[in-house]
Amino acid sequence: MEAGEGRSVVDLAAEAGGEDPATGLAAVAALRRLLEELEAVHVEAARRRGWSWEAIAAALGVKRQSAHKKHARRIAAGDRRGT
Amino acid sequence: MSMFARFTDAARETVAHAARLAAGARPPAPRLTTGHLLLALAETRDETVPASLALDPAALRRRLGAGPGDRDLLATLGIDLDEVRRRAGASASLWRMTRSPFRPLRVEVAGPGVLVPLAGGARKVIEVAQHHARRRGALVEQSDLLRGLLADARDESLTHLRAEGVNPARLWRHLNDPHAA
Repeated sequence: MEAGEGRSVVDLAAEAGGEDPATGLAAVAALRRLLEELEAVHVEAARRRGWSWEAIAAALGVKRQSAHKKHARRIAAGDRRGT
Repeated sequence: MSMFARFTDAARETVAHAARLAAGARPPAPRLTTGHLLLALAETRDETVPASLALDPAALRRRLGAGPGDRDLLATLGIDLDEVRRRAGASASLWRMTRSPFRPLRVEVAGPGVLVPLAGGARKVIEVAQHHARRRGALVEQSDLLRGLLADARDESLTHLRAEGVNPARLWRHLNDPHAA
């Protein structure tokens, strides 16, 4: 399987575990993006089931204000305009 | 109502993938461009896209200065991105593309963890794609997105296509007649 810049996944894996930190750091950044995506998926699902921002924040272990600020605009835009 | 309501799942996935490419760029791209759409089309293409769009996604990534994709980076950590998304129910149906009622030139793509506005060129691609689909009385499919990309001869995505050895005129003929030479 060919990855970006002509390198295979095996090459990338070797680099990630090697001395060049660039691939390892890029993998961590990708993991962070995946984490954000998963959080958004589950927050959206919780809101659809009627969860309050307080309950969502408690489940995530963050303050209500942080959860609301991070997700409310995107979810509200979707609710207002439908899917 | 989301503009995606009139898109096939595959075309929706292409635009969502382009939005992920823009948001995942280092540093994050402020706008979703025609380059993101072209790479997304190369990486998610279905059977509606003619074979004459003979693009090597890895080569195109190099040309656009994009690094390895998240799928490959996460694989180095032993994570199967597609499987994680499948288990989380993160389907293309969670994505929306909307035009601002107050600023009609502003079109945004929003999905889990991503909110990115379209650059002018990318917006035109979507509008041309919608035009072709409407004319057929069908949903916007990936081939319509390709028609949108080919519509502006001055757009940089055509420069990338030519540099990758793709003949845009031949591709256009194949879009309109799959059996053309």
